[in-house]
Amino acid sequence: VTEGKRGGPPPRHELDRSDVVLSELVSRVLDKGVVVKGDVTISVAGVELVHLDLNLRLASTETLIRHAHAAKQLPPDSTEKGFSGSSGSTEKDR
Amino acid sequence: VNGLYLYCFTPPGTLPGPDLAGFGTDSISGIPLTGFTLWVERLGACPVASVEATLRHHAVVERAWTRAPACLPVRFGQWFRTLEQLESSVDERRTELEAALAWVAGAGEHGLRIVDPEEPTPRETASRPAAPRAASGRAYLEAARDRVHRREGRELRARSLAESLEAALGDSIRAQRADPLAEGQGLVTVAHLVARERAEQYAARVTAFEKEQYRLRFIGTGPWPPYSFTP
Repeated sequence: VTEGKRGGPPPRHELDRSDVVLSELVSRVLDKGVVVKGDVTISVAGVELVHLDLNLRLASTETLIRHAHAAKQLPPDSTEKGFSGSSGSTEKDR
Repeated sequence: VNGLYLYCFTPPGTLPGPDLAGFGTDSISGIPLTGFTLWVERLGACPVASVEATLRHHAVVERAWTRAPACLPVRFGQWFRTLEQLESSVDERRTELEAALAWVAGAGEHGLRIVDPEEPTPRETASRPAAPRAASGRAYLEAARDRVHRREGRELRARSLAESLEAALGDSIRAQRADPLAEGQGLVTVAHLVARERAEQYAARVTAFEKEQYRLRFIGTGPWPPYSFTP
């Protein structure tokens, strides 16, 4: 899948692709995947600290990505990979 | 070192290589447990969540996914004090996990974020001035109602778009997950579970759909280990 060159008007703005990729990756790793045990993280007032931390971090995604690039934390192919979601799901031939 | 950090499940017999590192100095090891190999690392404590930590976690899961015929990713932060605790936790969900591992076998997760370029940018959304103080209780309620209507309208549009996409993809996908997004982040983010042998067919159908929806922007990502298709 590539971002196509279409005949419509030029977009007013572009969401930066690498921002999307990183935020979707972080969301997947922290918010998707199997949870084997119930007490994944210490929670305060029912809010899991990992999720709280994620939300705080995603609130400043641009800053995070700048830091990640500066620290060379991003994998070389990070601009080619990205994310998804959980609700509104449908399954076929399961 | 006491404690085990769990990355993912693969079928029996698939082992991590000796060169695979995680958070600490020990290499990743494979623990055989009836029906699975558990990819774990000996760690004294659970790693703290950060961008770097999520990338390290992902690197191990991705290695497992590329090596094994099936891989069930585990969410970040699954740390166990003892092997017995880990085994007991897995046993509690064994049937469900076995079924899920079989379901994702030979498949990857492809992501699509669909953006309407006419919507406000993330920067515009973030810098939008706060609404002026309502002159009356009625004005306040009307403003709140308008916000709800706007959000519901976006969600309806996102879900409708996701349904059309799923119909267009047909049997090129095993499953779809769709989440409407907040304004400034795009309309909807969609994950597809796609068998490796269907990847080309999937890409062609997405491209055709993208051409139909030429006013929207599609940001394709993946394939990933199937994070979004786990129980």
